[in-house]
Amino acid sequence: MSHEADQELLSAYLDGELTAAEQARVERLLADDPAYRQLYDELRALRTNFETLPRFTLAKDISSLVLRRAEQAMLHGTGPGQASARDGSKSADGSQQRAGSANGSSRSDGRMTRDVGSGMAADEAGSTADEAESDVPVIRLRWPRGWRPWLWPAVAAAAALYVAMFSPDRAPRKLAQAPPRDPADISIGAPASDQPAEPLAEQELGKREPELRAKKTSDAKSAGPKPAEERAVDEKAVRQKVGEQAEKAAAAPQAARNLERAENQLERRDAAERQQMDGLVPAAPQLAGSASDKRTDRAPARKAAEAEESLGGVPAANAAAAVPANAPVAAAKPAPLENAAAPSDKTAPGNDFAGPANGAVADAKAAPQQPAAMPSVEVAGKANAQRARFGQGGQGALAPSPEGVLVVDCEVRPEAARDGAFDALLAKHKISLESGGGPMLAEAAAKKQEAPAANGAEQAAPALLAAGPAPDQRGAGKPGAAPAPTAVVPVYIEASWPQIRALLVELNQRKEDFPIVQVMPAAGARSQQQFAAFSRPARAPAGLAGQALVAQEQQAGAKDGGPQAPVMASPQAPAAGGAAAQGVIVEPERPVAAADAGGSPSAASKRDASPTDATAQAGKGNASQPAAAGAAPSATASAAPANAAGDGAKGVAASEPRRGIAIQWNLAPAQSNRAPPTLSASNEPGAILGQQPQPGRGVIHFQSRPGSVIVVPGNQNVRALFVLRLAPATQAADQAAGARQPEPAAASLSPEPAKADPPSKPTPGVTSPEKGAAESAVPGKPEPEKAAPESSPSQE
Amino acid sequence: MTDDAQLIDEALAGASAAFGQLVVKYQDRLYNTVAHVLGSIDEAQDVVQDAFVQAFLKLESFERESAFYTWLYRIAFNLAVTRRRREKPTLSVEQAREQTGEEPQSRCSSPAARLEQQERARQVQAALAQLTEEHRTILVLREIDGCCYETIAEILDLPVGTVRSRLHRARMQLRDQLKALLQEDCR
Repeated sequence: MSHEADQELLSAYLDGELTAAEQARVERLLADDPAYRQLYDELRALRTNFETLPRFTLAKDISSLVLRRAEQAMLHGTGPGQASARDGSKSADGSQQRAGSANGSSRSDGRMTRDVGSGMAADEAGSTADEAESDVPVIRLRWPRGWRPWLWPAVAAAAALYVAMFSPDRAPRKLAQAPPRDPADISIGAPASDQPAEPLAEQELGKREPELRAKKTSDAKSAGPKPAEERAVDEKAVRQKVGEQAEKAAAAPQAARNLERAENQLERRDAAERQQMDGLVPAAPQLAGSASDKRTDRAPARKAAEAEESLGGVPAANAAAAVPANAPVAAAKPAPLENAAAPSDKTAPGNDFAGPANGAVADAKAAPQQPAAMPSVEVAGKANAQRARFGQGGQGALAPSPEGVLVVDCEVRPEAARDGAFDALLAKHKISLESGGGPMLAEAAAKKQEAPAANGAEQAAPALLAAGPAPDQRGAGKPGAAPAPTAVVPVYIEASWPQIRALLVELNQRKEDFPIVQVMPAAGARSQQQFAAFSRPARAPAGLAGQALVAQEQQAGAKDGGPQAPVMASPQAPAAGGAAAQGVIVEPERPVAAADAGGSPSAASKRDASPTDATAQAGKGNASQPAAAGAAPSATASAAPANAAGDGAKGVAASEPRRGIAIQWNLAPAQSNRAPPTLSASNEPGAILGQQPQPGRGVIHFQSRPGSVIVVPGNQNVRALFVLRLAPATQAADQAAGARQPEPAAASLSPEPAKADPPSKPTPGVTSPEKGAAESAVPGKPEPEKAAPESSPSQE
Repeated sequence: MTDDAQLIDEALAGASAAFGQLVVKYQDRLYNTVAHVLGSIDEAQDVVQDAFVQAFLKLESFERESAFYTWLYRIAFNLAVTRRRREKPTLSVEQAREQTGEEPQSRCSSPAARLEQQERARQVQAALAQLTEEHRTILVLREIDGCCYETIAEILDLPVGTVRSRLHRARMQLRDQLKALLQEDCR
């Protein structure tokens, strides 16, 4: 038997598809030939690797869709799509008959007609067939079935509703602007224009002059000539009368103009807010509160303006618009906690108001609470209700902790990953995995999908999206040439300040296991700035074609005074290996002004090495700057398009208050030329976030966990997101280390100086084809996990 | 099988809900296989839907010599081939996965283990995408769907011997693609 045939036998032996004689032959070969045994091991390893492949499942039951399409296909006499048209009529006719009998129809000839409405149901097919038989063209309007016919009407109705709710009602105001006319005005015919008083008087005078002259002429004819003085007095009286009337007509429009000016300013502010919310312009999380507050301000202000206008005074709206928004005011509603930490939205483009973002500028007395109209407000309300349901209070509990999420971009060597080095660190510092022996997150997610109405306090299901590798990395095409590792796993941790600090210290010290540690404090989070000292400089990950954006959104925050819960870490299910996910960039929740102004010296000294400032600029609207420059100085920045970074930054920063964290990264330029991301949020406890398509970008949403939020008195907890990335193989890492930047000054600020760099441990990375010799020099290197050996292929 | 036959009988008798049960029963399995074969979950969704619709329309022609699932597979693969000929290749599974948010849930509890598994899966997927369609199909049917040689032969309308040899060639190609990874595993 040839070698090829023997190998084929081996493959079939692996599948258990051999006869007894063939099996005996293969076993003999395996015993005798080491090369044969090597091939067998490799094929077995290949099979094991198939187990790592994802299992795709349809998110929903498609049976109803299939049956509906089948009915439509039967009614139209075609199969599914064009492909079924050539399938012959036999089965189609049979199917039609089946459908007819199923619906109680007496059609037995299978004759079908096309109806006006494409969504016609099968139960209407009988009458349609009868119409076709009568040969009389009958057009019947049918009530459309399905959701498609209703889509555009629904959209139009929603748009109309939106316009009706949010557009300023001009019609009543126009009526209010109309100046009161007295009979004299009507007799004169003065228009109620907005012309200034004096020009109007002149116009009136000029308009009435011929009439006056004609009257004077007739008077002169009837009463005879008057003396010149008398004529002058008459003319003066007429002129005075006309002038008074014109001034009266002009006074009311002046009040109306004031009102309109105030309204226009309010509208501009509203437009800026809508742009922030809809147009992916950076917005602070307090937008919901501000929107509601502003809206609560408006109606009373307008009423007051109209009331004063009716009294002939200056409209109150004018005064309201003139109130500087940064003036201390009494908000109608207690400002959410995040507003205190959030800088104002002065940077928001199009915002004419230089006040704080929460901008509740109305007096509490003058501005009673109005029902919130903006969707964001409704979201906040829902969240409040949900949090209240979980016993965490209402508005106060909704507010996130005052500081954002600390992001730690951490590269893990493959052998350290195998050793579970990060897990060991967590355990060492008493940060236990949330599963704690219980159901894993993935299983919880699966359960959640099965029973979405289950207890919302239980572990939330992470919604996962995978960023595909960049085109230049996909399918290297060269046998044996493995692409650079791109796996990314985010681990969200809520722990006390000392725990996070100890964890970072150790990460910083264990350079051999964690070659890159980039600590990126949340902008404005002063207490986190000192963590930046634990960063080690990032080297440019080789071969990366994208960059990552990490958006921090408010987590279901806890406020002071809540019950203390055990510290935990929430391992999220895999984020999938996107090549683009390398080089994490922090998109701060808020502009970094606070960090710049009040940040610690270490933070300031880290500015060159940390991307915080770069991303802060992106957050301020300078999104076209390659924010990756900080995290991945050269390669990432050069490989990643600036536009992509900008898009992502805008998209991320525009997020409304959400209970969850969103990580987003952009893909390579070829993939990122699609629609900008639209971040979604769900406030349903336990619901899965981020299921919406994100062309060109991978998004991971972290579900907030209202029932498991750690609440420590004094809000001492640190929310940290550790983004673990698999480091490239040792060889590549060493090459990259040669090009590594010098240690930044901040490294010396590390509270606990890093240990001397031990000899770099050779990495048996999954990607390096040439590392056998290096690995052999490593004593105690853990054996890679292998699948359980198959006792006998015939068992399969 | 018996259940399938009963459901098919009921569907043929006019109870379309019975066919709905068949859809529910097989939709995920078929979808997973087709997605890996096509390398595009968007296309896979369409193909799976079309396959079920086609199966419903042609249920009377199902002669029950093979399992319903095998018959369904044949329909699906025929549709996939037709679709592939008609349309340009679209997004790969990896690329499309980012759009849909569908991601397998990891069985690993450790973040580090998940990290490694992700990387491994990505490499396998990339290597699988490099194979020819016939090799990829047969590998997916065998390794992912777990079909036996006879079933594969039925689905692909091939002799069993051809299935065996083709499967072996596909494996050897994939082994070449993943040589580094496999050597690491075997060490």
